[in-house]
Amino acid sequence: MIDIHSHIIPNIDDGSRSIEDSLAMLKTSAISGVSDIICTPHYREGYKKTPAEIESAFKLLKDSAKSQGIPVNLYLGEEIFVTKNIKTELKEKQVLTLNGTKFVLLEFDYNINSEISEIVYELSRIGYIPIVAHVNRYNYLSIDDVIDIKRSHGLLQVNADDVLRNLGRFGKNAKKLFNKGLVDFVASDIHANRENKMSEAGQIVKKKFGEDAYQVVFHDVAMQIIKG
Amino acid sequence: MFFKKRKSNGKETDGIIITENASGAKIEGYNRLRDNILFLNADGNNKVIQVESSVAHEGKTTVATNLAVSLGLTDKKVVVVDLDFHRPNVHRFLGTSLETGLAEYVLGQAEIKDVIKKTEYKHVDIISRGAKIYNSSVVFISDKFKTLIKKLREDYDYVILDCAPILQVSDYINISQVSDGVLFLVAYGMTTRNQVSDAIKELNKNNTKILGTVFTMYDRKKSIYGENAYYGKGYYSYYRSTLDDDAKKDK
Repeated sequence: MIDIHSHIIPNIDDGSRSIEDSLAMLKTSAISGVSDIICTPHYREGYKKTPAEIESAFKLLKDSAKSQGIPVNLYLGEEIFVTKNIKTELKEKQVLTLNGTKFVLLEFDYNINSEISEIVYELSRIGYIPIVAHVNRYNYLSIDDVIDIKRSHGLLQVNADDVLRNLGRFGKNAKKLFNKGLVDFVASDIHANRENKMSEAGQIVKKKFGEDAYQVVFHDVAMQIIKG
Repeated sequence: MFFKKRKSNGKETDGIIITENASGAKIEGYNRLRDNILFLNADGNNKVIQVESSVAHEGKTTVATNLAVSLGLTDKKVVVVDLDFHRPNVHRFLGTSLETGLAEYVLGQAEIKDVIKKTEYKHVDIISRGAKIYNSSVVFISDKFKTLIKKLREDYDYVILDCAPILQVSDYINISQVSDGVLFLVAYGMTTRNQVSDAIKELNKNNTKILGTVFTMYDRKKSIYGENAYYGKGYYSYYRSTLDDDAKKDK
């Protein structure tokens, strides 16, 4: 399984608090069957490290994981909270795309209607491939809006946690999206001290939606990003 | 970049289908619409065209943009202005950005020249919506909006206004103060008689001139005109335009 959304680099955002935390998360991820992880620390108000700072912390993590023999390949990106500055931030490389590719992981306000499909359209118009993080969590999106996002060449990511939820809007929205075949990625969005739910979510997806769906959302689309 | 949109009736727009050498029933339809518009505007008094329909998803943006491209190919200078503040789409059809448009101009953040953008289509410019304004009616009552339309009227042969549906917002009332008339769209087999009737009543209440009616999403196979009337096969959107206001009132 390929995990494209995680907060595993220590002391960069509200994710891992220490290198020990990070290594523990990497170990549990590996055991649960995750072979590749893209580290995507937040880029938003309160967490605005420079690419250089993040790259240096990432290298430390990579080296530590290697020296411990943890069998997970690590890649770097960022989860970018979209503001009106997004185009400048991308152009001037103040933010990181995923693994140096044109894929960008984007986050939006959960409650304020952010016209997501317009932003996705605009970014794909200038050559990026936008991925909407935990798309099921934006309260103002209807299914038509989500279809609009896909037709604007956006890709959709759902959190493993939400795949496991049976109750609540997040879980119900996730289910609706799967039923319509709209999901492109399931990812952990793992923060500090939490297990990686990818494996459990994988079982649910396989059982409810089939082997093909499982392959697509846990592996196939993400392969495009880690291939570079 | 071409953008395909799923409509609530499940039918997708084709985007811009008019090109220099295109042919086919749909193209014929747009050619006839264009020629009717050229004829109507022979004396220059019907150049600011308000594209309206009763409800959403009847093909306003598809018709507005294809008509613009068709007119542009006859060497007419055309600008398409996106006046649908809730669901702006003109920029997607014409392949430009949503940014820096009507909203920025009305808010005093940009000049007219900053918001007019060229498109890849010959003689077709665009003014997109720009940023979202929650209470769009303030735009249409503003002096700035009136000034803008006046300027566009001077600088272009045709000003095509892609508007929000009549039965959804009342923007059409103020827009009709500055337009020369309405091109009224009806999605064949989809919009109900009551919806059309209500929309026409609204336009009549405000003494709005209806330049003509266009049927969209017409299915040739279900037509009473028969197989031999047209060429091509498959699903067509077809239009029929009429200069007779009374016919619309009867519907």
